[in-house]
Amino acid sequence: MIRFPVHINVSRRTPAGLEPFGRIELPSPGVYAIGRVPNDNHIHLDSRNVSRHHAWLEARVDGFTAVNRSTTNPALIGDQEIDRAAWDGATPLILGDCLLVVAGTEGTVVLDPSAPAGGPVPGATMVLPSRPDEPEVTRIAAPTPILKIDVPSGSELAPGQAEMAFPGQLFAGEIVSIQAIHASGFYAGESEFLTLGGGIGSFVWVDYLRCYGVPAEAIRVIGLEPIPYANYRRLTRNSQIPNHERLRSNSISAPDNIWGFPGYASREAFRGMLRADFSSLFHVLTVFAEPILPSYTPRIGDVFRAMDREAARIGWRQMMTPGRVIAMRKTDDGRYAVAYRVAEEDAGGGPRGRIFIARYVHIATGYPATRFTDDLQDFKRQHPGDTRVVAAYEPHDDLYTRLVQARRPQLVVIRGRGIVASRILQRLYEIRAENPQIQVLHLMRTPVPDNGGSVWKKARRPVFNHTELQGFNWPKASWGGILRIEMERADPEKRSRMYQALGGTTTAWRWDWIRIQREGLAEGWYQVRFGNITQIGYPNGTDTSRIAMSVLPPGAQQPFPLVADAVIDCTGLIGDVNNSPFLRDLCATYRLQRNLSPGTGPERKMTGITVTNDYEIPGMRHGYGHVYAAGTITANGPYCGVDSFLGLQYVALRSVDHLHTVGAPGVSSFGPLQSAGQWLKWCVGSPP
Amino acid sequence: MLPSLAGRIHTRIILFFAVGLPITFLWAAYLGDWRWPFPFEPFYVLGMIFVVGLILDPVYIWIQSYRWEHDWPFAYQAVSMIFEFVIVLSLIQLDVLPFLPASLIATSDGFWNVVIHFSMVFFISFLGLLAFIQVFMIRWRFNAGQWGRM
Repeated sequence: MIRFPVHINVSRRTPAGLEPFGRIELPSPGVYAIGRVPNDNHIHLDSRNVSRHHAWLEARVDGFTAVNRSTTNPALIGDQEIDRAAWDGATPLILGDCLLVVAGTEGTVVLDPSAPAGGPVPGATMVLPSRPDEPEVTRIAAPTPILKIDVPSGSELAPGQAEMAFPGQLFAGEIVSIQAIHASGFYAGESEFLTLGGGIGSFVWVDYLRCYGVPAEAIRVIGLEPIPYANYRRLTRNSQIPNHERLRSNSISAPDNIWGFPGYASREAFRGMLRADFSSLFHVLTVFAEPILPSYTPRIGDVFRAMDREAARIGWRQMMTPGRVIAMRKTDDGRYAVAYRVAEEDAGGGPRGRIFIARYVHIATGYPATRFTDDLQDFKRQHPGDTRVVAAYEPHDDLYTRLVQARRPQLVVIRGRGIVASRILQRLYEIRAENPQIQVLHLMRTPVPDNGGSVWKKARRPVFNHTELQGFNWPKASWGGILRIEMERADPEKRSRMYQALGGTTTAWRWDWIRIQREGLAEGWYQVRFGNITQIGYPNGTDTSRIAMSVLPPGAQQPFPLVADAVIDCTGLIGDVNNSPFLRDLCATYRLQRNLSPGTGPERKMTGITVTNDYEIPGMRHGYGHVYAAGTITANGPYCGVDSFLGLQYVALRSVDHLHTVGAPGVSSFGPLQSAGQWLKWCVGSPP
Repeated sequence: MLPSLAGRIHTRIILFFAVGLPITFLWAAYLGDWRWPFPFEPFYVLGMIFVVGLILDPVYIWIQSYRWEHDWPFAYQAVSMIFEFVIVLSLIQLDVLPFLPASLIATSDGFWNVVIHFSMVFFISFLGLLAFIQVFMIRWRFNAGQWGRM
């Protein structure tokens, strides 16, 4: 039971931490609109990254439900991105940089057991310290009565469909009738080819289609942001790779060029020669000298600029519709209907729900969510304002500023040993020039002896400082060599063994990183420890000046305590198909098969969606229609590097070749002469 | 490069016909003062390098299997191509090849003719590997150097 009026504490994330922003009183049950525009919203949050019409908060006597209205900015409960979900009031509801938490109803908040996984933890009720001396409560207008909401409340729908207020009953079955779609008023158009996601995966697929001869008018893209690399850029910036830094990617892995030639190395050298800067020729030489020198990697800014150029060439903007994909169904005429929602700004006052129909659909929605390790997640839930414990993929620039400004010695714990950990260590090394009191403790789960790298057949992976070294995420030949062919042909049992041997966390072999570690170890400011963090909190539970951890070393019974000033978790992104309401619904509705993660026994988890060698989802085949998938949502399938630039190109090539085989209109066979002709067009920048 | 054994053989055949033969034809014509019949020795040298390469391909694959990345860096490729040429040159010197007597490279002019011929084929083949094959065959780089569809 919730007793009204309910008070909600709003606070805002600032570089200095979390600061109170206001307290709002909800007078009675109803639907409250939240957003940046003052007049249209009950709760007006005038803040950066809050959309004009961002969310609805449905306050009932039996609980809260939050609904995201924005397509550009997500709504999160804790760290789970939501479309529509029950809210316990205790886990922060995050809109842009604002956090909402129910205050004054502690103990009366009903914890909803059906809330999404990773949601509320009983007993973790968190209330922001409101300042009792100035309880300035904003009293707001009466809410819209609940009866008027056109969407059924979550509890009335079957699990898995709770988020699907729109399209609701229309998409209740496996097959939806075209007539019903037209009658519903949601029909927004149709095309032959449709890609969902709008990120680099979609971009590469569309690039192939366009080069193979499909006109832009026959292709539609539905995704969150008009710039295909927007999300990628966000993640790389957060993990400290600004535009001038180099990516962990190959010269020929160019998402803007389906041929892989000229690669970034040749282009960089060519541009340098135009400026009479012959030092850039060095990059071409590194391509030749790979066994002696570290692999060439491109500057991230060059990658983005090249994609901008290709986007303009193929008419990306013309094909792009910003929207959030909600669900997909087979239609009764052998095609597919995709329900999506557009931003309030784009709806022009009309309904925000839309349905688009296509015969060939490509799903490239990317990492369904960034998931943190459990202990990190617990800490963040209990102390949402504490920005000293961060995941490397979150924005955390202010952490470095504070480390530089600190007067006493600062101990930073880096957790994990992947490429991100290397980059973070480099960043800490750089700021040590300003504050030499910064110490780094590198926490790894287990030691790896120098000759203890992973083994596949006759080859063994090299190791430096307990970290396995590899140019890219997988051995090179798994992108286009012997290992790719072997993986594709392997049975599930062998595939699992291959994934176990070829996978695992690695970092790139870079002279500067090796030098930093050698220097740090010799000077003592950098140390390596082994163990697993079992708990993160404050020393004695209350002393918030530092961070306390319990670390369980491998094989030990007793954890050892560790007190630090900052913790940067570099254990990476965990993609889980189930975190995406769209994919979860799709898998449940059509009982799609999933791949098992490598390993043995109960630890094996369901991972990516099972696809054919042509990256078609077999369970979605329907009439003349075909559905393809790309990216991390197909993890542990017939190809290792699905979430790399080159992998996206490989997958796009396979699926577009398959489209030619099944006779999709406009898709040519792309033989040698056509390929060369299209390449010339690419060179001069004329449309395909 | 990420070749398989089949990929090595396919790529070798492609380069033989697309690069080696045309250049050799022009080179032979130049040596023959653009008058038919052209000298046949350049064709034999090219053919011998092709055969020696085919024999060595399994050896390269064996070396590759010990490399964790299972790749064949361009530097290795350059060295192996020159190595194949040196073997053919040695075989001519040893006078064990039919139609290719040691006298062919006994004179300075003869020696340099063979080296210049090889250098041209080498550089243009290498450019082909880096660039032109991919322009014509977009599946080549994903298919371990094999031709055709995947």
